[in-house]
Amino acid sequence: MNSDFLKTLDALDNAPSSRREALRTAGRLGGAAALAVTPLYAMARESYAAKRSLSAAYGPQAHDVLNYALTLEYLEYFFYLRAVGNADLMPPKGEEVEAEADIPADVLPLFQEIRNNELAHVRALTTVIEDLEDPPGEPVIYEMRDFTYEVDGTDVFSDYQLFLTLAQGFEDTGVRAYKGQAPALQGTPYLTTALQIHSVEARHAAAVRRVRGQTIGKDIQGWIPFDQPDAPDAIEAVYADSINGGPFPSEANTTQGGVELVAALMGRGYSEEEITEAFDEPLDMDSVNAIAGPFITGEPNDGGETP
Amino acid sequence: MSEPTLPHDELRNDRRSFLKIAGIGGVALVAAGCDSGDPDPITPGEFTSLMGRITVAAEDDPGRSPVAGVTVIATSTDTGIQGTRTTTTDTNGMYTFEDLPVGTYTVTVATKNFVTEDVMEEDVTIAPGNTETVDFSLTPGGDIEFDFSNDFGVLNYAYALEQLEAAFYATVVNDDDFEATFDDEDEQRILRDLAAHEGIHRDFFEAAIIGAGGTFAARTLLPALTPDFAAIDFTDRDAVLDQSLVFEDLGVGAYNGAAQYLSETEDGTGYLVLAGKIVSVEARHASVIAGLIMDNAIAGEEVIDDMGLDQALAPEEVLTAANGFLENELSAINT
Repeated sequence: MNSDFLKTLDALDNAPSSRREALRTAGRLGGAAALAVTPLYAMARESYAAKRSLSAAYGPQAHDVLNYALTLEYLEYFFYLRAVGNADLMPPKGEEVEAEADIPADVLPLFQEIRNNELAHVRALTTVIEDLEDPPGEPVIYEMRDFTYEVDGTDVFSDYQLFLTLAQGFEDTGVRAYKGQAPALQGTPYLTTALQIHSVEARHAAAVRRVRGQTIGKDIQGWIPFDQPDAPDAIEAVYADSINGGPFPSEANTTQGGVELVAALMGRGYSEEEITEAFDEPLDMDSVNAIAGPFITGEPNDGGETP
Repeated sequence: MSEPTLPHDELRNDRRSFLKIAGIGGVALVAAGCDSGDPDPITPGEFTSLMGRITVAAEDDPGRSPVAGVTVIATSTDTGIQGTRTTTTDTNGMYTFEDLPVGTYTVTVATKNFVTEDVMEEDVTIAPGNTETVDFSLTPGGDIEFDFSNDFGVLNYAYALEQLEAAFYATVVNDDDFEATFDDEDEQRILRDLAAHEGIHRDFFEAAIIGAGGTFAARTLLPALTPDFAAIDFTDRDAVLDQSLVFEDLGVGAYNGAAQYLSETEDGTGYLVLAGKIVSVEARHASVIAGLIMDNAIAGEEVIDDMGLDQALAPEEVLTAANGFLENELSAINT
């Protein structure tokens, strides 16, 4: 059992509740401005904690991790839903959502597809959690339609480049977040499902990165060189070390499985940049919360139904 | 009075026996057979060294690649001396027996996976003051079986797939017509990146598996595979990209499907996280290649299902696909 994970949630339960207002115009994912963040899943867990059975071998931990993942998926889904709307969906489900972002037509299908995948992930994880038996699963339900994100007074949905920056940040964070929780799901039937989502997030990340590179005229490939030294301030934390001395190094890490690869592979024609690109790094829940927490709006299970 | 025995080795050997152990079943792992009873007395004598190098045979590989992780056994054949010494080749294919009593030995190499016969052996007499050298050339071929009941088998499975991918991209970017076939510099850049990343993955697994050897019962290392890309036209951009997407999507599905076989670790530093670090890079590759083939695509057709899930492929399915590009025949057990 990963007791640190539960400790993390406990600590975050005590985070001040006024953080959203404070962070409304923070302009940066994670970092100093986000010291007081919304725990992705703490509130849902609080009500759940009393009921859960500690006798289950992996039940509580799997339940918490899956709900944490579900919360991230809600965030991504609503982000893309607001960006591209849902007018293209046939047949439409629920109310019509107008597209807020002005995404060029040639790449619009990519973001519609990503929205569809994120919605599918919400549904898939909801189903998985509902099927948990010991203890019984309670998937969170979120409506996250009203977060505001501004940099220098510009709103994310009114600035295509800012939208791409945030999309890249969310996707690369998602990849790190799932990777960081894989050990917590090891030995459970949910590990494979989580990994099947994890690799789709990586596909999203690569595609979004390329679109952003082409849009701003910079060489941004689908993979992450070093710790993405040219990243805008807003998403620097996505590629950095775990916060607060947490367990994981930045994306610039070159030691894998105890082997320092720059030295071990010397003379074989690989650059250090390529070595860092060839491995993605995990990220712990604390750090992910610091990055993504400020975007979580609404209360979990506050009416509504799974989209 | 204590009787001299072969230094560094407690095993006595009446006959060689070959054991399959966990890891890659099909790679012949040689362990000296042992029986009970005290060592026979041997005559005290002088000591010297025996060494050699094991490479792929020149007719199969003009570069004569070294073969790492091969078990080598020296068995004394002198009357009055019985015993064996066992060692393993390093990444340069080198093996060394230090401080061997002078005398006559049979040097045996485990070759089950690598040549048409099970055992290669050579007799050598070592004399005082001389370091004898006995080299072996191995011919690739044969079957390889991955045992998924332990991490080593899973690692070697991943290592095999990375070898296949690395060999593919090396062929792509080293083709004489590469820059004509891919006249877009962005595409050249991408394929060169992929060649580097897959080579790094392959070399990483090699280093990691050798490094982990100390904690396993014996070291095993999958010998270099022998890819067969005869069916691929490397001067046809679309064909190369299509094949690349097949390999990348296959790699993603392979890692996703294999993770469940890795043993548990509590601290998150085990092989599962390592596999996770690699699979997301494979997914990034797949996405970018898919996008080069068709605007806005991030995966091959029907690779992502209605639940938004990537593939998680059974080892058997992956190996069937991989075998289409290999002269070796790969299979999995205990899945």
